[in-house]
Amino acid sequence: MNPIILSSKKIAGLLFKEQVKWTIWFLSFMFVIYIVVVSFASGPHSSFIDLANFSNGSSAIYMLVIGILTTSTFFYYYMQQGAARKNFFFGAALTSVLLAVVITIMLILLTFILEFAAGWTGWNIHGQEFDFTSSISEFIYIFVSFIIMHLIYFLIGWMIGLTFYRLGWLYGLLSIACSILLLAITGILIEVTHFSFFTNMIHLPAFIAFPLNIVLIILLFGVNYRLIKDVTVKI
Amino acid sequence: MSYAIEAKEVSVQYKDFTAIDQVSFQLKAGKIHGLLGRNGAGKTTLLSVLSAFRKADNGTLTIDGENPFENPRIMQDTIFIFDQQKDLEYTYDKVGEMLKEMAYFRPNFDEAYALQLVKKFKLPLNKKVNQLSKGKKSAFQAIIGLASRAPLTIFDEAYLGMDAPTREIFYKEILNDQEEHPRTIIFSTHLVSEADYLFDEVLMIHNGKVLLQGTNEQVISEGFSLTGSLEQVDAFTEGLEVLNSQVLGGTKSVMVYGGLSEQQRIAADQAGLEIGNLSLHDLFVHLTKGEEE
Repeated sequence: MNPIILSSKKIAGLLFKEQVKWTIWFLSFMFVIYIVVVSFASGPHSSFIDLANFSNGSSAIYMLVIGILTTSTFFYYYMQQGAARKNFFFGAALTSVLLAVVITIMLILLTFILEFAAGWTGWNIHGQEFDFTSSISEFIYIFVSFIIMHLIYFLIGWMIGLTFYRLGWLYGLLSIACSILLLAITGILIEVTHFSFFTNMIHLPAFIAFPLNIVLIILLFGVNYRLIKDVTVKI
Repeated sequence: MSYAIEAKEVSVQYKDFTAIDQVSFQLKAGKIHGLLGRNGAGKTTLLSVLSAFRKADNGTLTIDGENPFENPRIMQDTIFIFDQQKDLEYTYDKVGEMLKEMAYFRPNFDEAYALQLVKKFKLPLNKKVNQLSKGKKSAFQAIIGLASRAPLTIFDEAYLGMDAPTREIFYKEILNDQEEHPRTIIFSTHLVSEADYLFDEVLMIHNGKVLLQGTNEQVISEGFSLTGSLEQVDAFTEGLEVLNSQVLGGTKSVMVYGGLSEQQRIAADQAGLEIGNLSLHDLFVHLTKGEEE
């Protein structure tokens, strides 16, 4: 008997390799756009360098899009290559966590590089909206917040993609409505996210927000597993 | 390595439409099985169930003794080649690169054989897959299907867009490679007349039900043709299931469905009627005729 080639671990490795490639492309474009904007703009525009402003909105949406594509692109492909749904799910789940970590690391590195380059070239740009350089604890707080935010956006995208794939456009639209609600909740739970309705009204301390984030992540993994575990591969 | 398949009362329902209606059959390991059916007969749905792309709503299915659904071993050893013209429009990798990639996923993939087939099908290795013509895209998929040497290989109308000489190459390769590397091949088609020599066994489905199943010879022997004078043919075929008839002057030729006993054969001989065999194509066309004809 041949060993199983497309195990969860193997799928995670292949997906991660591919998605990191996409991510590098995405961040490169972001970087170029940023350089162009900063070169031509001055004054308040240059505060765009801020970690959150520079990256957060677009990187979260990027994760959402990757999540949406997970089903129509990656799932479909690996099913054709003889993968089992369960193996794909666990592979993609592992990749989503890894990618959330990696994109956060890349963004922070880019921000440091930009800060350094700004100081060196004498660009007039101010520091971060989020303070992640003053202390280790602040850094960890921001770092983990970004990872969680990226992961949640990915999982929401994955849920939308899966719902459209499995249940058609009507339920798909409902999943988008549901996602807006979830993003609003994420807005309350995670300070760094840009998409929030109630941040000014409600402020949850970290020791409440983090466990709630974990609950939300587990819930999204659960929903996605339910949607994928016996889904029909459309041909 | 090849897998045997057994389906018992398998059904698939799409809302209020029954695509597969309690079908039961056995497919022997190591044979080429022709799956015949008209458009909408349920061929692709059935193949989706066999390849674990879809779960059957009812019934039991075993491949190599196990339920294939979410079975990593059976799924890895099953390759399902179906019309992917649209998907391949967005495949920007080169033919050679894609074939190398397949070698990674399929344990029995023979890259040297794939390259031989590339030459036979005259595929450009350095061309991007999306730039291939429709027929060449089908040939590309056929190469993957053949070179993967999966214990269960399914071709669902995999010849779409191929011209007649290319189809001929494809059919010959199926026969040749199957002989050297036996596996279970299911070949779904409605181009019965040109592919019937491939099949060891035939499974004919119609409106989601199994119409006929057996070896090619058994299935063909389910019908016969009868030619003779109009009156004698009419008299002989009274009570028999006539699939089709043609009259030319005073001569009538009919296609009859059902076996012929030795007594009947002698009686036909005595009446001067000519008995002939039906082709698989004749049987397929006339057995699956709808009310519209």
